[in-house]
Amino acid sequence: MPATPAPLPPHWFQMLLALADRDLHGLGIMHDVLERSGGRVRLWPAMLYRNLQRLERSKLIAPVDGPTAPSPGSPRYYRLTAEGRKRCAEEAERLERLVEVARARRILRKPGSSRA
Amino acid sequence: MSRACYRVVARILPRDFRDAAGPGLEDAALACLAREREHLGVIGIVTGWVRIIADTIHTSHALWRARDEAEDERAFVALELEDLPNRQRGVEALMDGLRKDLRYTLRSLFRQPGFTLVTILTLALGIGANTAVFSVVNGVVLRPLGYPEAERLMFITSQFPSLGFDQFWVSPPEFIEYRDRNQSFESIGAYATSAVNLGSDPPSRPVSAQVSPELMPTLGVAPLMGRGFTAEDAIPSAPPVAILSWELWQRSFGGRADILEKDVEVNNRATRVVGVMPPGFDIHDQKVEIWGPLTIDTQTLQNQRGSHFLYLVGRLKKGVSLEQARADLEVRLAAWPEEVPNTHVPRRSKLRNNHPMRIDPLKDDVIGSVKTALVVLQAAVGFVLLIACANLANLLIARADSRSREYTLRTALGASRWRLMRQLVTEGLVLAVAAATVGIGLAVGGLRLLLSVNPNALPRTAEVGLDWRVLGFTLIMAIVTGFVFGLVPLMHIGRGLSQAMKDAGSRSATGGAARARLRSGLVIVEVALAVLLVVGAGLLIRSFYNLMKVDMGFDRTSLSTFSVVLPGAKYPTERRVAFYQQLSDKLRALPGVEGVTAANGLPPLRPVNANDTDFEHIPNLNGPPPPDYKLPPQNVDYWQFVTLGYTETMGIPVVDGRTFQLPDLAGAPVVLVNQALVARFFSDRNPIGARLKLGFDFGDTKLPWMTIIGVVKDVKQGGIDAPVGTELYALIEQGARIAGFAPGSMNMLVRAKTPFETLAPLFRRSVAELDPTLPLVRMRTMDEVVGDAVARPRFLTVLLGVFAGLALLLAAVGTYGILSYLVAERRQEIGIRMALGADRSTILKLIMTRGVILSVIGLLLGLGASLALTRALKTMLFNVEPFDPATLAGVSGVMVMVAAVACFVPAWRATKTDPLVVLKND
Repeated sequence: MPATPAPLPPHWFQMLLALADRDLHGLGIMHDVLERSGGRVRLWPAMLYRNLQRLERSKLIAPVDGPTAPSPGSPRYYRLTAEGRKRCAEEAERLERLVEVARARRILRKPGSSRA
Repeated sequence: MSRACYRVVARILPRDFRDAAGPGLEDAALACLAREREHLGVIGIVTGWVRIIADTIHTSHALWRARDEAEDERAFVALELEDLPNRQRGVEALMDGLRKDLRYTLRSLFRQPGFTLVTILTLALGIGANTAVFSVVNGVVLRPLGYPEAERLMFITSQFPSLGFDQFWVSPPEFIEYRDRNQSFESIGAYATSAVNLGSDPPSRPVSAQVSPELMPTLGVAPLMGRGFTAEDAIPSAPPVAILSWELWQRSFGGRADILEKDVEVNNRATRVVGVMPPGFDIHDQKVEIWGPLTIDTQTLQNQRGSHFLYLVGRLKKGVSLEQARADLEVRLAAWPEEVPNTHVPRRSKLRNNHPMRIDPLKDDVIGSVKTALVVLQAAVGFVLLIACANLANLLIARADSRSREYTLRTALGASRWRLMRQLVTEGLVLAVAAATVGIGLAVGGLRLLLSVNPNALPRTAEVGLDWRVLGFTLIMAIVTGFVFGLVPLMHIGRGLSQAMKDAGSRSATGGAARARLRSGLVIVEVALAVLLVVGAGLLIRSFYNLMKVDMGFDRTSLSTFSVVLPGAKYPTERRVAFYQQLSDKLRALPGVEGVTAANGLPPLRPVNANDTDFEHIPNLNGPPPPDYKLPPQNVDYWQFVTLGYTETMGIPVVDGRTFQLPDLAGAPVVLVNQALVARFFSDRNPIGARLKLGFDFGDTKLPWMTIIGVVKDVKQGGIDAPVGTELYALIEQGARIAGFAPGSMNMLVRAKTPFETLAPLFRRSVAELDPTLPLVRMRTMDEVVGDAVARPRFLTVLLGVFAGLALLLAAVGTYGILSYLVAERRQEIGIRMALGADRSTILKLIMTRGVILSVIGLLLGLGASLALTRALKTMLFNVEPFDPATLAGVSGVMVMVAAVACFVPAWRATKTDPLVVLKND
């Protein structure tokens, strides 16, 4: 049996998802997460940057040049690394398996609609 | 704005973190704040910042912790190793070392937020209270009066030892004769304060002062604009002029620059404004707002010898000392009777006409007796800080124990004793400075509260505030505290260090006996100091209780008062009497009113009259009395002018004879006297039917004799804590006949079941219906009047009570702390004892005994100290001796109870020890 990867912390997962299809800076990640979660997941600045640093140290994301020429006042952009993309996908699969179990046991009725 | 604020907040985060995050951190913070505000409005501003700060602290804590977990030991190893090459390299190395110490300290304090918070808050309370009290001491006692070279200003008064007046007013001829003939003063000015009706809308009644033209130059203060008074202004026939205080000018005249040479209505007379004084100018803390010239009629000067109503302020010549001025005054007093042919001149004599004068520094007189009280308060609050320090030292010792491994390791790495000491002192200082910062904030708030609750309890309150001296005091206090703090654990480490190195890591690392002695000593000191404070507070509380229990001689329940002042220009004597009668009728018609009366003096604290009063049965002296003369001087302390119904409305019992009745209004002149007057002048005869009259026949006026018709119970007039003076009551309706005038200022007194809040507007309306230009002043209930009369003792009692409570609490916490520690330390022993069959009560007794012994030693020491120190309270006590056995017993009881509770909790917890667990762990 393959070793199941440790689950990603939910806010890491959210941050990685935000970077899935484009490069973003900290503020952009914050807004993306906020919008997708309907305002439920809020990343406060110091916490956001601490986690960005931890993600970077874990080599899940990497700093890149932004769309404009870098200047001292411009924020840093981040991009998902290959490792980050892999971990993000693994987490999504892990969650998907859980969703299937939930469906099989009739917790969820049909794909895509929740009982919120 | 928000960005700048966040930049400050973000300082909490480590620098490298901030650098790595870059400007995005601030952008994100601003976005969060904006979103919060958008969603929650104004509340969002608050919640946004709260959450931002929480986020910052939380993250910063997490960052430190993450780092510490990994780098803990490496950190101080590195600290020592880095330091090695730097040793003995002078100032630069020292500064570098200090910086490192500071960084290390901040980190280790951050790692124990609970300890840090408790320490800073406890110290902040102590330092804050000290700062607050010191700023009062500074503003009231230490700071010089607000005049140039104020130390040369002297307060000059007269004395009448035979009447018991130690500081009395000076009469106009005495002022002029002394001003012109003394050798010590550059100049002397005279003043008399009262209040005037100022024609503004609404009419107001500012405090006024009549001042001689010399007064302001003597004080060394010139008007801000316009001119001062001249000799011409002081001539009785001169057109009336006034100088406004800056505050009155701003408040009533909007600070208009064209006020000069305009007329304002003062006591219904058009009065020309000639000047405005600078802000804050005042005399003797009277809060004077309008100044007028003191007019002295030099033609009739010799007739004014009996009217003492002036206070003198003199400025000493440069180089003349107070002693020289006093010696010069003695020369004057000796020469005076020869230079002025009159029996009533200042003189020092062994006979009854002894009437010397005295010179005191103006500042001493302004401050008066409050100095002792403030010194006592400062000492008390200093003791509170000491107790807090003792508690925290105990805490630090406990912490030092848990850090002995670290110290040992560092010593092994080559850290000198000096290096460790520096580290500890840095810690103490960081804690103390942080506490001082918070404490100053507490002091500012506390001070404002203190002064707003008790505005009348202290002199010079306008000058109380934080200045460089207060801040310096706080800083020094913080530094001393920091040193004491840092070094106490070192005392104990120093001794235990070599021992600790031998068996580093084992649980019984340090020499227990020495440490236990030190900690027990601290608890004993704490308890002793707390006892001292509680005894002091107990004495003041008893004293205040006695003060409130004093029979004031009248019934003050449901009694309210206000006063009206009728200006002489508009209201001659006959119109005054009519006015008071009409006003009384109107007040009587108000709902719920049971009685209305008026009096010119309001108990329990009114100025003394000390009117010469001729008693028919006492022979008048012409010339000096014979050496064996025994009869009392014919002078009555209080001449109380009242309206009909005074004794009934005030509830003053008639002891003998009858009170005033309706036929007396037009009948023969009659008076009531109090028991003190009977005791003084009628010890050998029946007062009823005896006769007296105001003054001795002076000038052409021949005043009629008045017959005593009744004796009433004593009423406190000169203060609740003062003995009752002699007093007589006369009807204002008879005033024109018996004294030549009726008083222009009367206190209306209304007894009514209706609440005061309902009555107050009705009082205003009643007066306005008669004369809308008259201001009502001092409108309040008699309960408030009595409350004001005891404002100062109440202020002191409350403050000392609070400090004593704080001390008691801290001492209890300290006792509790040491016993908890004791229990923890003896867990093993307790476990073994219990395993061997000791029951709970034995364990309880074992622990309790230890704590109670400490408390009792502290209690005894404290009682001993209080016997020595409460003597300082003597002048502040009323009907209580400093060695009051009841108070001492009560305090001992309270202390024993508090100690018992503080000891019981840890002792009880010890009985819960499970011997199995303890023994297994060891």
